[in-house]
Amino acid sequence: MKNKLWFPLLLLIMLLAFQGEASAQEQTISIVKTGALKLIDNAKAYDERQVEIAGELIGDVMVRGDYAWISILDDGTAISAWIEKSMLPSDANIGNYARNGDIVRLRGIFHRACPEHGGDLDIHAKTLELVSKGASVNHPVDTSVVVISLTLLVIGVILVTAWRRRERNEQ
Amino acid sequence: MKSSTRLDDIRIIVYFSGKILIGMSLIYWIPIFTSLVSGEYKVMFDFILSFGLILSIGAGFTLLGKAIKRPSWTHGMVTAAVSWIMAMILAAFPDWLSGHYLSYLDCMFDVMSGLTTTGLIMIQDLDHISNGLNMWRHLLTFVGGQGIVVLALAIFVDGTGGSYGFYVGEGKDERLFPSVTHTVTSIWRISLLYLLIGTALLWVAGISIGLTPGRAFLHGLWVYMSAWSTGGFAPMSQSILYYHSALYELLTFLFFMVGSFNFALHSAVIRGNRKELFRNIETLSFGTTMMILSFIVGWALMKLKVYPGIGMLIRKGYYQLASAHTTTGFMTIYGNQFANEWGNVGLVAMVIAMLIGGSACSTAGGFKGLRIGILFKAILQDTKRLLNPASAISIEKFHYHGERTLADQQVRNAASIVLLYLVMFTAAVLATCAAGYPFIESVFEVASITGNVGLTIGVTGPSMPTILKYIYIFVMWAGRLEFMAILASIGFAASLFKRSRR
Repeated sequence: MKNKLWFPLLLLIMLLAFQGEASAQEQTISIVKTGALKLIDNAKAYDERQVEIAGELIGDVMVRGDYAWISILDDGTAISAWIEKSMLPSDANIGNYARNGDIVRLRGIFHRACPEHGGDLDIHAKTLELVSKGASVNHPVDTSVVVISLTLLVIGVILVTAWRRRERNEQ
Repeated sequence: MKSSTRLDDIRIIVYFSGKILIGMSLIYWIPIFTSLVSGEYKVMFDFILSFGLILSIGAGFTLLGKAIKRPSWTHGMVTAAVSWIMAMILAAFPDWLSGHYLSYLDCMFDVMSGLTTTGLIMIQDLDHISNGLNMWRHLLTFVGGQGIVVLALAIFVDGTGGSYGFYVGEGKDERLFPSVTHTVTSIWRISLLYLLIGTALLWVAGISIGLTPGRAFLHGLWVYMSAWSTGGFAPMSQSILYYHSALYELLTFLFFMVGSFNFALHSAVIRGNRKELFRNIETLSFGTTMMILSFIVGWALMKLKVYPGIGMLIRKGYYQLASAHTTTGFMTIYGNQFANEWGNVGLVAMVIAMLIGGSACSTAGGFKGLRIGILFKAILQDTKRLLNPASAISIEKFHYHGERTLADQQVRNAASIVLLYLVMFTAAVLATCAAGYPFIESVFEVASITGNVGLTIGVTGPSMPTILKYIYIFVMWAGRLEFMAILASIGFAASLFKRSRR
C-alpha cells in the first residue's frame, strides 16, 4: 500500500507548489545598466534591484490578462520580462528565423527568484523603449544546393531501385 | 579462407548499416514538409540535399554489402554501433548547411546529443532558427529515444531473422513480445499513441498561456517529443523557463516521468495490468531514490535560502531533480544558477540522480533503476547470509513483470554495466578537470553526459576544447548503447587487426 503513495504524493506536492507566491517586494535604488548574462551570473548581487538592459525582442509575446511575457536576447543570452501589455506597440517586430526583432531598452526590477512567478528569474518592466526597428531577413535559395539536391535525389532513387531489384532476384 | 570470412562479416555489417540508413532517410521528409509549409525554401533544399546524400550512401552500402537471412549476434552488435556513428555523421549535414554552427564537429555533437536523448547543445543563435531545423532537432531526439535500429526494424517488417542482436546492440534488452519485429512495432505504436495525446494537451496549454495556435502546436509537438524521449532539447534557448507557466511545467513533468518508464511497463499498463506500475522493481527503485534525493535537494536549497518560499523551492528544486533523474534535461532555471546558487550538497544529489537515471528499455539513460534495484537486493541478500546461520538458504525475490528469483548472473550483469558507467564517468571527469574546469562543475557536466541527461552547469558549449567534444560524443554514444555494442565492435576491430598482422 505504501508503495502506491509516492507518485500521487509527488504530484500533490508539485500542484501545491504551482499555487504561486506572495507579491514581490520591489526596491528601487540606483539603476544598473548591464547585460543579460551578467545579470544571470551575478543574480544574487542584482536581486530586487532596478536594472536596464538592451537587446532584441525574440520568440513570442505571451499575453496573460493585462500583462505579457516577452523575451529579450542580449549578446546570445535570452532573458524574460513581465510587461504591461500596453507597453508593447502593436507593430513590434518579434525576432525569429524570418526577421530580426526590434532592439529595445528595458528598465525594471530584476528578480533572481521572482516570488510572483513561482521562482522564475525575470525582470518586471517599468519602461520599454524602442532603440531601432527590426526588419525581415532574406534567406535566398542557393542554386548550387538545388542542383546538388536533385542530382543526389536521382542517384539515391537509382541506387535504391537497384538494391530492391537485387533483393527480388535473390529471393 | 578465414580472411574471406572476415570480409564477409564486414560486408554483412555494411549491408545492414545501409538498411538502417535508408530507414532513417525516411524521417527527412518531416522537416522537408515543415519547411515547405513554413515557406522556408532554403531550409527545404538543405534537407532534400541531405536526404539525397543519406539515401545514396545507404543504398550504396546495401549494394556493396552482403545480405544474409540470419545475421549473427556480433553482426547485430557491430551494425548497431556503426550505424549510430554513420547516422551522426550524415544527420549533421542539414545542421551544417543551416549556418548555425561553428564547425562540423559541433553539428555532430548536437546530432549525437539529440539521438542519444542527451540534450546538450552547440548550436548558435537557437532563438532564430527555422521551423524546419527545429523540427529536425526534436525529431532526432524522438527517433533516438526509440532507437534508429528499432526504427529500421519496424520499417523493414519483412525483416530479418537473428534481429535480436541489433535490438540489444541499441541498449534495449527486453522483448515485449516473443518476436523482435512485434516488439519494435509495439514500441513505435506506444510512442505514437502518446505523441498524439501529449501534443494535443500541450497545444491546448500553449494556447492558454498566450502562444498563437500555430506556434502552440509546433511548440507542443517539439516539447512533447523531447519530454517523452527524455531528450532535453527545447525550441528556445531558455528551455522550459521560456513559457513561464506552471501548467506547461506540470505537463512536461508528467510526460518525462512517463517517458522514463520501461516500454514493457507501458505495454502491461495499456493491456490492463495497472498493478505492475506499483509492484515493479524499477518504479519502486525510482520512487525510493527520487524521495531520498528530493529530501536532500530540499534540505540543501532551504539551508542556502535559494528560494524564498517552500512552494518555489519545490517547484524549482523538484522540477530540476525530476528532470535529472529521468535524464530529461529540461530546465526552468539557467545553467549558471546551479553553479552559483545550489551549493555542493544540492549538486551532488543532482549528480547521483543523473547517474542513476530512468528505467531499462525506456528512452531514459543512466545506470537504470532495474540495475540499482537488483544491486540493492543483492546487498540485502548478502547481509541476510551474514546474519543467518551458515546452513540457512537465503532466496531473494523481486517483482519485474512477474515474481523472479534473484540470480547471481543478473547481479553480475548489473554490476558490470554499472562499473563500466563509473569507469567511463571517472575518466571523463579527469579529462574535464585536465581541461581546466573546476572539479564540482566537471562532475556535474560529465554526470549529465554519461547519463544522457542534458542539464548543464555551463561547461558544454562551442568554446570548449575540441578534445572534450570528442570525448563527450564518445561518452554519449557509449552511455546510450550501454557498452555491449561498443565492446563487441572493439573486439571485432581487434580481430581484424590481428588477422591483418599475421
